[in-house]
Amino acid sequence: MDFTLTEEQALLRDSVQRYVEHDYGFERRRACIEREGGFSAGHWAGFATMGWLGAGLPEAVGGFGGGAVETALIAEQLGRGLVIEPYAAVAVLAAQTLRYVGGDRALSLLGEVIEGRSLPVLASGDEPKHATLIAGGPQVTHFLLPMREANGVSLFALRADDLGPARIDYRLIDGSPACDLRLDAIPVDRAVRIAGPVDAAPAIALARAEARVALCAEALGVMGRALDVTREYLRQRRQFGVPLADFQVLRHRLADMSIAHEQARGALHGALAGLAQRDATSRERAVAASGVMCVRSGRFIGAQAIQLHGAIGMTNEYIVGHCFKRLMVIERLLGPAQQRVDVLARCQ
Amino acid sequence: MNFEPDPAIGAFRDEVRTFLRERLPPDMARRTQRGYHAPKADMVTWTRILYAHGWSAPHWPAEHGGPGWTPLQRHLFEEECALAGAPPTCTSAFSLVAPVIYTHGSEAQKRQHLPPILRGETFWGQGFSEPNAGSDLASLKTRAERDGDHYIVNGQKTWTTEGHHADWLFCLVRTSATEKPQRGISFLLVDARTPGITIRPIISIDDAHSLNEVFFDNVRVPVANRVGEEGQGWSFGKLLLDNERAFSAEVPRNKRMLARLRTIAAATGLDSDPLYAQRVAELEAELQALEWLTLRALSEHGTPAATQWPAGSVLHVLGSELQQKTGALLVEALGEHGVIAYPEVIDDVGSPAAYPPGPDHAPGVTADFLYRRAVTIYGGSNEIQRNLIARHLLAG
Repeated sequence: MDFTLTEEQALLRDSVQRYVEHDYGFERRRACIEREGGFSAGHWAGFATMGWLGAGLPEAVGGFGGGAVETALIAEQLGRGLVIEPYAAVAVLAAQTLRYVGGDRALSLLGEVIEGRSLPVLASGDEPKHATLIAGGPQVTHFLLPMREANGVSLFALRADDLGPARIDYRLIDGSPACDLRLDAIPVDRAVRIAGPVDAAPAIALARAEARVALCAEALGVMGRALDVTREYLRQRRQFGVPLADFQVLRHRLADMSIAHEQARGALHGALAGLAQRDATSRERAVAASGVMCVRSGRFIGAQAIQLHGAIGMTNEYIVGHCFKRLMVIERLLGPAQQRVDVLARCQ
Repeated sequence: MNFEPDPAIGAFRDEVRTFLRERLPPDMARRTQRGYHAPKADMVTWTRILYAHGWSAPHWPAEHGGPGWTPLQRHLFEEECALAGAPPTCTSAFSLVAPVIYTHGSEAQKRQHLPPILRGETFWGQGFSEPNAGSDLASLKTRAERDGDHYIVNGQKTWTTEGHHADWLFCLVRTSATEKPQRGISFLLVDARTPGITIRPIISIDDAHSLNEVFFDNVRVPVANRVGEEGQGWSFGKLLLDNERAFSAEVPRNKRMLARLRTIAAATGLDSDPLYAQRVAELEAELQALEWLTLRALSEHGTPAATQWPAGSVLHVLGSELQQKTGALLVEALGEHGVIAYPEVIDDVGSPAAYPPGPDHAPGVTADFLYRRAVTIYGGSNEIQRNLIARHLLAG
């Protein structure tokens, strides 16, 4: 156990932080949502060039030798920037699925992911007729479909173009694109088997665990941004002749936000330790517990960031409302609350 | 104290229900139930329907056009309207400015403004907050300088709800620089079409336009449009905010939200989940307590008992926080559909082809939840309300 970042890890975190601060400003983000459909090809190419898309993958599959810690460091900084591109969906969930199922076809596609040339996403659910809330919009190149067969779950890849009415695109409340797939409307021969007939389910479960931890890290970053913006506002905004920071009730609220933020970080570290465990029960338990805490802290910090700003926090021109909405979306991408509670109850 | 049911009240409720069944257009009710901001056309139409029945201003005194109901009747009426999906009338007009006009206005002001409000012919917007005067409203800077029979108004107001629909604005303006800033504030009624007024939209986090900023550039307002004397504006503003708070328990809206929650939970099967049922039960218990607290406050209004506790602030805190809790559970009940951006469909003639997928009960829930972050901010934030409650408790 060591909480100190290695030199490489610190460099990685700093590079994402710098990028987000200099190249992913709030106004550019807004322009991306309003004019580019919520995805910037330029940003994504930048992510690939800087090596972030392969940072959490072993060298054996073409990655840069990092793991879940590197992924979390990137995700947290992307969260701080409210980055709208689907890092967790593509570079973690889909990429780790391809990595864990292995085989030539999967690893070849994974290579394209690391280079930023392909953007596959996992279509959720086991053998679903209707895969829903798939993060990513028109830029998605492949849907990875787990399908139940005689020997277990196989993984198919479906090229994302020309799906016609089988695909329904829409936006989420944070401005990010997402879609549903009507699987019964897709001709089977369009999908290419990339793993199976061996059971792909354990590989998908591992990838899901990594993706949830990445989402927790992203949420932590959003919370940190909301906290910092609120702290600055309390210092600068004057009412009754003094800064808002002079009012004890607001100081205590800010302190509670900070406590919730630290608590979420503790939960994330617990989940990262859980991912390092070999047995599935410890892993699932740690990931679920982290999800519970990140959702709770995220709800509190997001809501209080708006509250402490007052009416300005209610406007789309200001950042804290977007933090609140992004946290709502991350909460949902983490799955239903009941699922986490069930996992924790079962593991007691 | 006596809580025996009043036999007459059942007949009153039936009368209101019959009226709503016969007069409330179903498409209008469907739009309102979704939770988006009501379109102006619906508000106008509904106000005129109410007016034709003599019911457009339930809480006004009978001499000014109110129906002369008891507090309990007013409460039941508003509850039935909310549950049936009736759109709101113009709150800024009926609940905020009108009580100031009929209590402190001149006879001419009453004659000019109250009848068109009653008939739904004029909409009003509130010009109180400024960019640097929010919780600290007394520091407001918008100036009104005397020039013969007129004031020349310069400055900026903000967070003006439905200001883009307003025919008239009621504003707190500074008419003199005094040592105690409250004493230099006056209450002006301003025709929103006066040259020099610019109204700009503010898009809120629900992606909707209900808020506005209002700029005043050498706007000439007749001195006759001042309510009361110069320097009395602050006390009128306080009276108005107290009125706003008395309604901000929003029991009818809370009931409608809880009813919607039950409908959605039944549709999704969530109602059979014991953990979920427990959380809904807690909200129901809170709502019952809030309802009876509200009834008590309404009954005590204007009596010495009303001065014994800070009812407005207590109701504001409880009612606003209950709305936010119920809203959060509503979003949760939608599952994945709770984070989908559903654009508002005004014409209500079926969804356009590219509309996001989801059940019919989904659109509007999350937009309403997002907008309701404001209920703990407007009308005096809950932090300010708690200060007022503490001041009351610790005074003397």
